[in-house]
Amino acid sequence: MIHWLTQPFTLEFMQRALIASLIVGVVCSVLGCFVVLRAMAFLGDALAHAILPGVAIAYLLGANLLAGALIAALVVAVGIGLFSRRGAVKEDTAIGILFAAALALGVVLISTVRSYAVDLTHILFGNVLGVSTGDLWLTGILAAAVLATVFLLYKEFLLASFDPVLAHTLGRRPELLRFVMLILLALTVVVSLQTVGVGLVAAMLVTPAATAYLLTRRLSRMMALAAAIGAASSVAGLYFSYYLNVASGAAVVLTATVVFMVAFVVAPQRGLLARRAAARRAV
Amino acid sequence: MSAGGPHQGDGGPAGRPHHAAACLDLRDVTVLYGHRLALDHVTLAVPHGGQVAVVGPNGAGKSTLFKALVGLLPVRGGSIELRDRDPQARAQPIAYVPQREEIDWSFPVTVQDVVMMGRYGRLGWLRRPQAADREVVARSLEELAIADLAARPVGDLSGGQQQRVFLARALAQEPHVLLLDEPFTGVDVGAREALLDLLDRLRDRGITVLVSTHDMEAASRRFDLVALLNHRLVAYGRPAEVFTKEHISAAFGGQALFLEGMVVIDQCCEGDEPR
Ligand SMILES: Nc1ncnc2c1ncn2[C@@H]1O[C@H](COP(=O)(O)OP(=O)(O)OP(=O)(O)O)[C@@H](O)[C@H]1O
Ligand SMILES: [Mg+2]
Repeated sequence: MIHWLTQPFTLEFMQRALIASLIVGVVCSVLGCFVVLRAMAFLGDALAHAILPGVAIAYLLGANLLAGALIAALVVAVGIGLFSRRGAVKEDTAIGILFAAALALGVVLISTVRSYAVDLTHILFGNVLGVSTGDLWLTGILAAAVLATVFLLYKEFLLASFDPVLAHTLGRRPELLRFVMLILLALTVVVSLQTVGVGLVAAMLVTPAATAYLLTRRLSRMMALAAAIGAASSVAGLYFSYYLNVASGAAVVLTATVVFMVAFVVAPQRGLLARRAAARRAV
Repeated sequence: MSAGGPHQGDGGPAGRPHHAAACLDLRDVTVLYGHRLALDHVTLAVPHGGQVAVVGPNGAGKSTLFKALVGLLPVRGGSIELRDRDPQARAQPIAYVPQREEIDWSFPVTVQDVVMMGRYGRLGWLRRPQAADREVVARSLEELAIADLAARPVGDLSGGQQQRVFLARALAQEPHVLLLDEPFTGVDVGAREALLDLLDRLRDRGITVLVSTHDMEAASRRFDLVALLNHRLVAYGRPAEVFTKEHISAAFGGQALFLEGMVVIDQCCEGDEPR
């Protein structure tokens, strides 16, 4: 059994995959708490797809994919921030148009290359087994920056998410904080690019955080729990991927989803069974 | 200047002797929603430690006045000046408890967390709450008799308890001026009396209070000053000066019925703000 657990990680690329998965599991889940509470899931997904052209251009130029993704993500975050202020169309409509167009543009760019089917799959769904040491460093630094920002501005994010009216009367600028949040989301998407890919990053943002939401009633605990669930799902998913020989990003996401479904049924207060029982007591 | 109303500025706590030292000084404040005039050249001065009941029919602009005071709505004309009694005192001039809290009640925060938010204004962006802040929060919870609820999620409380949480949060701001938008609406008699007692204690501490209400009885019995509002300021002064037949007809129009020396205001939908 011990052997079964340790054997995958005797391989060096598996060690890198493990570290990368853990980082992504934690960062996505922590930031995901705000994504869930502020109903920004759609925005996160859109942001992820919108960086595809940036990745494609970096790919065509033979530059570092993560660097391309990072630049694209920041451009898109600024774009969405400005776009949603104008209010000519409803925000979700604007985002929907933008991200579908960006996805199409990315696919067009990548399809000019012959090996495009394989490369596209890697970008869309991740290829954690191909993480290099350099990638790992960049991922680690970005992740640390995101977590440090969340930690430092924790109470500001709490205030702006819970009660924007109070934030305003205390002289805060909720729009500014929303903008910071967009940037953090963009960085997180970049961090997740190689493990779960553009297509599944939204699941990593939302699923562990939503699971934690079902299990606790305090934000700080929700974040800690989400991080633990995200990390555990990442490791478990990696094992499934190794032994069942399935795509790793998808395995991680499915693991997290199963954990969510269990919590959805058995969570102490918000779970299905607890609510049924409460309803029965009330009768 | 049309807005002042006949009793504005004569004698009394709102009168000229105090004017220079007024805590809150509004001059010709005008607020528009699009092209709709919500506040029309409202001029009024509230002395330090004064308690003002803001009265008027539905849609008179009471909530609008409060929102303009805390900067949630832009003022199209006129000026709002807020003076600290002690010019050295730092920040946190106004605390505001809205008519209806527009918040997500399922948000994972405890009562303690919510009241602590009242301290954020003093903390700035990066500082975390200190022991002194926790002390103020504990005192505010005591003051509203909800210390035993501190660890409960806000979503689990009753409507009356939730209102106390937001009052406690406003107190935790340690404000000079406290704005309460219709705190008496939808609460039972006990809560109403408790709130009036709280206002008495705030009076002792010299906190300036503005309360919007449809409760004319409380307004005339328990407040120093009454501002009768209907887009413009119809009258402002001591309750006895403001609650005259003439003023009330001017503010409420056909809604006001005078029955044997008693005023009855016919309000079908008390406290309902347009959603
Ligand atoms: N967001 C808004 N957009 C447009 N008009 C508004 C808005 N809010 C209020 N109004 C209008 O401005 C006027 C003043 O509204 P306000 O809410 O200040 O009245 P109020 O005195 O607080 O009424 P109530 O006693 O019902 O609470 C009303 O005519 C109302 O219809
Ligand atoms: Mg109102």
